Amino acid sequence: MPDLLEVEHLRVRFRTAGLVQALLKGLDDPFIDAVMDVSFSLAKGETFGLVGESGSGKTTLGRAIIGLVQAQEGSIKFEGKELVGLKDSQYQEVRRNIAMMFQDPIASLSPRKKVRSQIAEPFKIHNIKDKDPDQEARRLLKLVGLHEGFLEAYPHQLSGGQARRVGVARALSLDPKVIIADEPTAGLDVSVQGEILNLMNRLQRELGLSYLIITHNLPVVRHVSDRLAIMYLGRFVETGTTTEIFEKPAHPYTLGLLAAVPEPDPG
Amino acid sequence: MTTTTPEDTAGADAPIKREPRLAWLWQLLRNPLGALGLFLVLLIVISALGADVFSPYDYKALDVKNRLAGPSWAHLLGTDNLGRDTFSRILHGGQVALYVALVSIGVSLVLGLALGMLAGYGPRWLDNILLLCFDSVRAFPVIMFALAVITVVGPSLETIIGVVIMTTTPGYARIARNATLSLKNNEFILAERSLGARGKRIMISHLLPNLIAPLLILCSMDIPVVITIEAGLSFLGLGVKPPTPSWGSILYDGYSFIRNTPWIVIAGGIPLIITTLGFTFLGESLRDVFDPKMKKDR
Amino acid sequence: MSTSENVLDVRDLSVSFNTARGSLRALRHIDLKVPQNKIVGIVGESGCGKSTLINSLLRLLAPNAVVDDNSEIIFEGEDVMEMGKSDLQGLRGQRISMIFQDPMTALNPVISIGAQMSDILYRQKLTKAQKRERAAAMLAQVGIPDSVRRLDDYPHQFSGGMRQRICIAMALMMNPSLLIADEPTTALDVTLEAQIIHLMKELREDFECSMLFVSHNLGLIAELCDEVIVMYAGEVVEQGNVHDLFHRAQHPYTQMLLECDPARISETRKDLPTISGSVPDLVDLPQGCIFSPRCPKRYEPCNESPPGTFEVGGQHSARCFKVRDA
Ligand SMILES: Nc1ncnc2c1ncn2[C@@H]1O[C@H](COP(=O)(O)OP(=O)(O)O)[C@@H](O)[C@H]1O
Ligand code: SF4
Ligand SMILES: [Mg+2]
Repeated sequence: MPDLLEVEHLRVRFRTAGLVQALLKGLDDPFIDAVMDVSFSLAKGETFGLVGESGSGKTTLGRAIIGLVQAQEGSIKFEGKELVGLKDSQYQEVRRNIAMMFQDPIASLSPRKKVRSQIAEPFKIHNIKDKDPDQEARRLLKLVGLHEGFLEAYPHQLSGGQARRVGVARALSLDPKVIIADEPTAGLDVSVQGEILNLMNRLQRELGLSYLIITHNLPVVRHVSDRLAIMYLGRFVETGTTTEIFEKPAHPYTLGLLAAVPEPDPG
Repeated sequence: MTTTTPEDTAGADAPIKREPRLAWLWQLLRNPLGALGLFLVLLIVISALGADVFSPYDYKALDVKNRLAGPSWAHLLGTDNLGRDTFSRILHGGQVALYVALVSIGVSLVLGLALGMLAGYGPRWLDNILLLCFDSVRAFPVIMFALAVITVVGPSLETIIGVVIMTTTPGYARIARNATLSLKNNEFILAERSLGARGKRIMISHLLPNLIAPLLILCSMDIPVVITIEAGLSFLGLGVKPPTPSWGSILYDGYSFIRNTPWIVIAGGIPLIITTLGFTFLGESLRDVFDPKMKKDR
Repeated sequence: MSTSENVLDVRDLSVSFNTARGSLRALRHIDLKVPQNKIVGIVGESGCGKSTLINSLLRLLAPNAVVDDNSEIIFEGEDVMEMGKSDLQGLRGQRISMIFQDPMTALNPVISIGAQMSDILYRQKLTKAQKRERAAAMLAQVGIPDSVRRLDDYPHQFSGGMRQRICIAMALMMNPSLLIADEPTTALDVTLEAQIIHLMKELREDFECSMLFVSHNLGLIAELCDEVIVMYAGEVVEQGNVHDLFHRAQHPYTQMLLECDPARISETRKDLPTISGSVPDLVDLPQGCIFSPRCPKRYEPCNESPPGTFEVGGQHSARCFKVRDA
């Protein structure tokens, strides 16, 4: 059986200067490679961690998979179907199966909508008539451990952890098979980080989800991922199982990254 | 040693930090300028709406024996050169002023929002074309533009409204466009797109609600400007046609007879001052209440 | 320890905010000392009042804040609460400097770095060239290469980590007696974070300056600070030196906080410990101990009245009945 998601030799470039500007400045290559020759695959029920510092291209890779940025070369196959080259309108179907959670828990919720409509939104977007959006919103809230009172709350009334739960509920609304989580614990307090990771774990067990977790937080990724890729300047410098990488890091960059984690013990 | 149990449902009993529904009003009223602004605006609006009820006389009725009278119990603000009751004329003038201001600002707001969102969210070429239009219209001074249009189509309230719409829309559109551009790359818009939402839905249900508050505040500060423009044009005889009263034409009458009585000028000037102060105070205090920067740090 | 050795001495500080829901008691009876040449860390989860505390030190609270009359904030022997406008101006940015979470908010995007840094020295009688020289030297000290040339660059021409270095340089320009850092590395990733922490350690040797370091990252606190204050829902629940706190934590909240940090859990596990329950509503406080609704060690006295601060030994104290009864 092929893997759920297969990425091969993916390349994403961004224009750094307009045509005229490039001519004036005499740049012959007004592009920057955000993602270079990246390959990996994600199986059903698996968690793949993508680690790297900001600017290394992790977020771009995640966004390319779901079609928010365009890939120039390589291939992304979801359930065997090629996604690179699809038009924005053809991505609708993909976006039902692959959901994305964004980095900032509160800012990724529409600021003037109540939680109720945030969660029901996907049903409206995809014109799903056979489910009652209100019922679904209640069910999903319960699934992520929030009581019904939250239906009427606005994003700014939520704490980071609560907003993150709403984000998870919304990502789950269309029964996706894959969730791409961009820094799911960033900006959360330590005690809340654990709660969110436990929640994601439980949902994975119950719903058979696959996760692509994008983060720069090594201690976190250690507890959740089965496999890891370390990304640096747009490339994968090391891939392996989580245990391998933590126990026998091979690439000097990985070593540096591991050494930089502050030791939570004054000695 | 404490044993913290693994669990993931702490949110279940968490309180929601909910503010009472009208918290913003409470905040507005706590600010003396805000309370004063709201009071003055309500005063103007109510007196204009109820002009027919509150007016002691028909604003057109002549009383030739009582011309250019000073204030008295019979005529609270005196009478003009034809013996018409100034107080009644001021109340009806308010109707005209508010009508012009609300219609023109309202239409400009709707147009500005629509064009601005299209420019900001739509393709680059559309943005360029629209920006060119906005900026060329904005290059004309309002009064010159108004005078030119009036010479061609003749003076009337509708002309004034049209001119104001033409000249204020580009400003609103530009603000809406800039705000759209900065919102467009916010995570919540990306999140909507990642769920499969398309342009129209994003603009109407996610961009619009975030653009409206700052623009409404701007509108409230523009209302007195429009009222002044209407008064100014009517003062020059280029606005409403007699006998419809306007604060501008009342002022004009006042100036012509200022040697006989100062009361008409005073009576015509006061509502202009009240309106300007009222809407400006209200707008500025609303901005303080809703300013996202002040809210951010909570 | 006598008062003169403390740069900052906060006694019984209480602050509440008037809100539409009623009085929100953001800080209650805070006692805090920053000794000369020491780094004091403040740990606590968001909303526990860290920023309110810092803003009170500089008298920069929001207009709806009310400071309790008993509160005293003694900075280098002067009571900040009694200071007038001009004294406060001299205090902010000169005797106390701040480093913020987001370096971009602290820098003016349309003024060159050199000009911004020279501006800070407006009170000093130096020529323009001398000020630029000082600025360049300071940039070099915080590790900005090619500092003389980069004076003419604008904030957006620097990367995030560089910008934070610039903010640190600016904060040190006036030779402040106290440096306050409010989550200075939260916006940065691990490698940059490590560099900034390393820089702060170095600077501490070079400048005789005390520091108040606010963070919710226990690892950073352990690495950088001499003394630690743990805040929970507007109270200081435990304080002591960094070893006491990390090795002999007494307050149940501190213990649980240390237990749930993913970075401190050495074996790989999928189920992480958490603190059940949630932070109390500061408008409607529980009657007894502030932590009692979530405390696994709660017993009879806890629900009756709030515990006072009890000494564990030396400078180590905790706000918990267990410590009194131990
Ligand atoms: N201006 C304000 N008005 C009302 N409540 C406020 C205001 N500023 C802060 N608060 C409240 O005070 C408490 C402490 O906030 P804060 O000092 O920002 O915490 P921290 O910095 O530790 O995250 C929070 O409950 C917060 O909502
Ligand atoms: S006083 Fe009681 S409730 Fe409070 S922390 Fe101590 S044991 Fe827990
Ligand atoms: Mg804070």
